[in-house]
Amino acid sequence: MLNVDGLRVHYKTGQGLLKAVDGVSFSLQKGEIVGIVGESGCGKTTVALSLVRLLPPVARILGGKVMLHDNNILTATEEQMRLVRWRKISMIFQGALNSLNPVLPVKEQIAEAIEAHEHLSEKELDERIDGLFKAVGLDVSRKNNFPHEFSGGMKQRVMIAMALACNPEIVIADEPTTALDLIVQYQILELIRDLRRKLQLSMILITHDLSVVAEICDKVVIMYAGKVVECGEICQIFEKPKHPYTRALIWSIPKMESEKTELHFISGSMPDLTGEVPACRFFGRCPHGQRICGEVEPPVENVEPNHVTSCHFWRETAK
Amino acid sequence: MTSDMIEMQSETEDSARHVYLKVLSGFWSSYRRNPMGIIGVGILVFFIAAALLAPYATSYDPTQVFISDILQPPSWNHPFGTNEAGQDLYSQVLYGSRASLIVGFTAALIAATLGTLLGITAGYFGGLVRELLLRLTDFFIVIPTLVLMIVLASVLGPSLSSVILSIGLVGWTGTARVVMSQTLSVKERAFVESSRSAGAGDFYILRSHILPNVMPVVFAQTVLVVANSILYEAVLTFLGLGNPNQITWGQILQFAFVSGAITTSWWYALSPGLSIMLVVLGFFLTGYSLDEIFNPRVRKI
Amino acid sequence: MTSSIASAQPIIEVRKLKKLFKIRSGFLSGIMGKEKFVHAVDGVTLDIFKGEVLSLVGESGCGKTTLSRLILRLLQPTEGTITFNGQDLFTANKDEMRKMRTQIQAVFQDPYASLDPKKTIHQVVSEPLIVNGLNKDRKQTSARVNAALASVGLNPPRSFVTKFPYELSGGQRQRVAVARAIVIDPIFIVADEPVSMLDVSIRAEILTLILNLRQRLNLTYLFITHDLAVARYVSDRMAVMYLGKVMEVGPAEDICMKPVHPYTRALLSALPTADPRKHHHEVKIKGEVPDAVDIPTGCRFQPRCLYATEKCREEPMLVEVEKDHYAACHLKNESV
Repeated sequence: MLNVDGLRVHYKTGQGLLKAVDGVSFSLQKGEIVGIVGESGCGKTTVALSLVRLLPPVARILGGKVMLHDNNILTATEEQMRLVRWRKISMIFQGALNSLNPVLPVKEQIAEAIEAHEHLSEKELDERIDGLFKAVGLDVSRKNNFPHEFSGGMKQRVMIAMALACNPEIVIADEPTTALDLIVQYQILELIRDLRRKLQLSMILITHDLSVVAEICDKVVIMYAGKVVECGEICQIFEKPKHPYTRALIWSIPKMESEKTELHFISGSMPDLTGEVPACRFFGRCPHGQRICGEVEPPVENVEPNHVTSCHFWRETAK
Repeated sequence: MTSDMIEMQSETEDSARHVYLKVLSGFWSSYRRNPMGIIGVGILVFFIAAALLAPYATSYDPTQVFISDILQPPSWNHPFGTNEAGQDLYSQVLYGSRASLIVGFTAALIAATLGTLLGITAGYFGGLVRELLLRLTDFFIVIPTLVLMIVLASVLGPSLSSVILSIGLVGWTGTARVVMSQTLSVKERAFVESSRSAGAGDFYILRSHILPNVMPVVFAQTVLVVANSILYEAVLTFLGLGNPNQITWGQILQFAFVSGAITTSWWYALSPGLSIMLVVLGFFLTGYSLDEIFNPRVRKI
Repeated sequence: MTSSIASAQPIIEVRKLKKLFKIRSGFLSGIMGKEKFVHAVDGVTLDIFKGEVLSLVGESGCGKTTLSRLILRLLQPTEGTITFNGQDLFTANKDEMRKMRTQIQAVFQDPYASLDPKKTIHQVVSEPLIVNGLNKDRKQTSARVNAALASVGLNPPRSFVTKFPYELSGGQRQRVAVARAIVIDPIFIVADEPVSMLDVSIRAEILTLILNLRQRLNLTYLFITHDLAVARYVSDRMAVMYLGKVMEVGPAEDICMKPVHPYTRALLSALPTADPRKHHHEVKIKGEVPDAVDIPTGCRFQPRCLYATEKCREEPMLVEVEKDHYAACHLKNESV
């Protein structure tokens, strides 16, 4: 349904050209939840913004294709994008719960979102909003309340309602549970699972937390420094991770079920994407790095059906 | 003292200078990307240079009288024309720039200092102190600024320092409000709480954390205050509240008016008027560009 | 990372601590004497033993942040006492207070906000020394700052002291925050959600650092977090708070493996598992976190508890359910 192929986005900054996204490819089927995971600065938000063409003016899309059904989003005109945004693909931005307008009742804010993309009568608008509230588990009688009267979890539900306002096919959620307490996070993830089942919703979930991904995603795309280092079905990734970075991410999750074990971490930090970067971006932090990793970019290889990785030594390093 | 410690000592001295340069160059690289700001600074540099180099830019003494050249339009000898006393307006405007700029800067300095002190105090300490200061600020805002300045200047007597004081003691309210709101936000930030938990007292926090974080806003605001001060100076001296023996642009305008020549001799008011306009423009352009850099909400990215 | 409680000597003793915040109510209700209060901390009795890491776990609004601010003396209690090494925190004289201030330090949550953007790393880390009058000798101050930076893994210190916070990553800034906390040689550190704003993959780094420093510098920690998995990894003992009171407290492993209080169980079951095969885990709780203004009578967890009975109309006290493990629940003996 959605196919991203070789997406390349750079930012023009004061310090030079920042190669934020450098050849990212993945696909999303109907009814699937794909998780994009990586550290801050790896380019995941940039990928999301590219899908709805809401990049800031300093960004340049340098190449690649984003095929939604049979149309390339990257070459669409602004007119065409206006029909795509919110109606085909909608987005919940990072930290969105803080971007609700404090002086408007939430009902009006959702109405605004709808009216920007569709024309409905008063009655239809009301019905739609009531339906949305019910769908996200909010009490319909609260639709005239102001944002500050809602808790964090409820605000996030409002944001989800807003994203669903025009019945999109795909919802992109950027760090939807990061600022939330544990139980609230669980409730939101339950809601997302519910919506996927009821509405056949397809979703792209962006997060730095692999354990959240393990909860609800079907497929995972692991990004590092602007590139996809591994991509596959959720069970494949967790049972047989092939890229050293993926493995490191999995090891760094504190697990509750078993006996307490040593927590691993990855020392060092991402390379500066405005300057010289090694051919394999993970070179330097990788415990298995060798000379070739700095010079030749690792090709994307098939590990098994639906599972790819890009590492020179994935066969050797797998335990 | 071991050699390690000596090394660290000289490194700290080097590093202080290095840090200073880093801050300045960072600032300049953001500033120079703003074309309006560059124009603004350009204008200001020009006028300040003109003020400093006045004796070299003209061969006449501004009070020198050319009896045969009374009220002459601009000519090769007198590029800006002459006044009713036969004095060269070009030299007058040149030398007058000194007083005008000095008054502007000094008055703005007084207003900025007063405004910052009051703003920080009102912002940081709540309760009665804040209420009192807010009422005081409201009082000054409500009364028409110019009227108050006129009253003050006439009470203090006709002199340049009375003009400076009247502007400074009345024009602090804008700065105070901006500083107070900035203080309110800075004092809630985590690093202030960190500092307090490490044992810092109020005075230390004000001096070491609040003030440096408030200064950018003060700086941007003060540039506009200087512009306004120069305007107010022109108005006050125009109204005759300045020292007639001291040449300022406003004083030139005052003579033009009083002598009646302002309507008949178009060049008389033109040069001082245009100078005031340009300098104020320069300050405003600079001020807005600074605001864009320092005010995160105004910035584009 | 296991370590038994270093000694049975409490370094901090909290007794019946309460902190109420008045809500600005309307004019009428003020006249009628019906003032409303937020019961941020509503009667907490707790010990922190020397050498241990005690986690304070709970959701937003449970009072853990307020409790930490009380221990740091950034707030005054409404009722109750806190003693530090036997000395009452709030009735100490000037000299005693000065000494205590150098012994208790803090690390805060937001690495982007807890460092003054206008100060160099050297200035940031040396602040506790300056503020407590210990920076008379410039060379010695530099030496202490550099030593602190080296201890937190920011090597070589020389290359960091002239940097500004914006030049460092989130993980590095948090290390600076830790360096600032230890530069004055404290014995007790309050760490308020120190890793919540960091990526999951760098959390372990900071947590390992915290534990290392505990060994090397004989520190005691109060670690505040809403993430039980993090708490389990880093702490010896855990205290679970809800609506201003402690619901369960005991050794971290016991609480995680054998939780007694329904709230603790709900929290544990809400943790995302890193195993995609294990899907549906039900969280046995209902409703939302209420605001701490109108506290229900009896057990305050009652409105959300799926197992509440008549007995729960009476407020449960913290009772020992096994060695050193206490829970405030009437149903502790029933298997749920």
